[in-house]
Amino acid sequence: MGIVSNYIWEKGVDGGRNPVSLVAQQVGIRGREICLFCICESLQGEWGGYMTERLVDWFHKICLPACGGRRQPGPRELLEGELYDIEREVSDQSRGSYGGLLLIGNGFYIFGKGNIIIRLVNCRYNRPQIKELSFPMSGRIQRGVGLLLHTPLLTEKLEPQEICQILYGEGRWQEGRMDRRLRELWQEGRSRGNTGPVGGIYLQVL
Amino acid sequence: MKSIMGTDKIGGYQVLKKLGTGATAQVYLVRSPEDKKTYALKYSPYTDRLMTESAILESLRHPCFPAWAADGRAAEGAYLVMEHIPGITLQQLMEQYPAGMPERMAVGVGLDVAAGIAWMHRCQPALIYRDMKAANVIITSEGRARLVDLGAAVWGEGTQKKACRAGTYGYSAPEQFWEGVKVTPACDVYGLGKLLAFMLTGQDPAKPPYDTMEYCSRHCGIRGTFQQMLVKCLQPDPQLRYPDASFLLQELAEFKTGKKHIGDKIRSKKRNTISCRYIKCIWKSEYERIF
Repeated sequence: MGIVSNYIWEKGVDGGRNPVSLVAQQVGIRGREICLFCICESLQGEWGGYMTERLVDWFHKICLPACGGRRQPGPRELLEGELYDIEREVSDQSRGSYGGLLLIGNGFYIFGKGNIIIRLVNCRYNRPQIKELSFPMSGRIQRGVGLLLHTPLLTEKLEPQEICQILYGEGRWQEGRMDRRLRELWQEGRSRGNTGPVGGIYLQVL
Repeated sequence: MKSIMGTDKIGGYQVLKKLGTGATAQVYLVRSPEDKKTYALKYSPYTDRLMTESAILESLRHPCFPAWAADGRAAEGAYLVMEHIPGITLQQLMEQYPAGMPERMAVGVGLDVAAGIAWMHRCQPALIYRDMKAANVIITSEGRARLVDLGAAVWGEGTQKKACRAGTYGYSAPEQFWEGVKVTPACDVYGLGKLLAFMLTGQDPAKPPYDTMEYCSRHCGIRGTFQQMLVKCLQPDPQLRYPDASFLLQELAEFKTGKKHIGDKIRSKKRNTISCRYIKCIWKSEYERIF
């Protein structure tokens, strides 16, 4: 099972600071992929930036060594602990929203808080389907499905079926094309009046 | 094209386009009225700092650095004219290699950069570059690496004061951010180690996780000998690193000629760490770390 992913991170038309921070880390250990994807949105992007920075640090220093053996607690418990620590460090006012996905082999764990949207695009059958996932959630991921993590502004004025239509198409597996599709999604929203800053990650399980 | 001062000429040079903006200066592509050649012109309101840079560049005659052409004072600042090096930065090149570039290529770039830095360290008194980062390395169309921006370079091994701290977090040696600590050529060795690690792993040292040694020790793409070399460059204690870049240059040259490969297999078997294949490492944010 392989994962291809790409992201979109765009400022609004006013050209100000993007309050969205995102992280996409993919590492292969002993034939399986360990991935961490997360999007954070906060005022001025400060908290989100700090949180993603902490998560990257956690991923490399704690998660990867924990994935190497059969140690307890597992990566999921370790992540929950880390999220708790990060949240406790700042006051309620400066906190923002976050949503992410930890993928170890074919096991996934979706975590988040606030208004970040995580959608599942099921392309396994002829007629692709899309649905919004709630968090926290865990399970096993299957080949042929795609996951879209994004800030609400990216798809605010688009119908789920339209999102599905843009993301699903021939040659969807390649990263270059994924970038184009994400950009198409953003431009479609922009043409309908969404001019704010956006961030999104799309990943496809092969 | 108009410059920052609102004129189309700086010191008699015709401004063609803006090449970039730094923290304290702007760089323009200009045409000389005399020989009609194009040059890079650096304009800064910090006159003293730019004049020091100009003096350093004038004294350096090495193919790794742009050739000095002229300097002078313009309205509310100063300018430095130097050779224009067309090409892309190493930072831009690395976007094509999210999981690191081939070892041969990284060694080639590393050799070019280390040769330039070693030349600086051989000066009397030694010159310290201090701002080693991928954005300061230009890869020319011939595939050679050249160093630009000597704005942070200093003469000798002086004591660092708060006002003259320079460098990029992640690339710069820890002692560069401490007050009252001597800056030595070992700072540049640390920066070179970070640059080599970036090229081999694709992990930008200026982005989290900043600790390069952590992932270098796990990266399956870095061979045993290279790993030892990187570990020596990236020691937090400057006394444990190579004393200057000439030592690293020699090691890299030996690595390129193949003298350093024997025993790699045996060592890699003995290692008791997890071997990782880094596929993608992206972190996008406007957040800046405060020190």
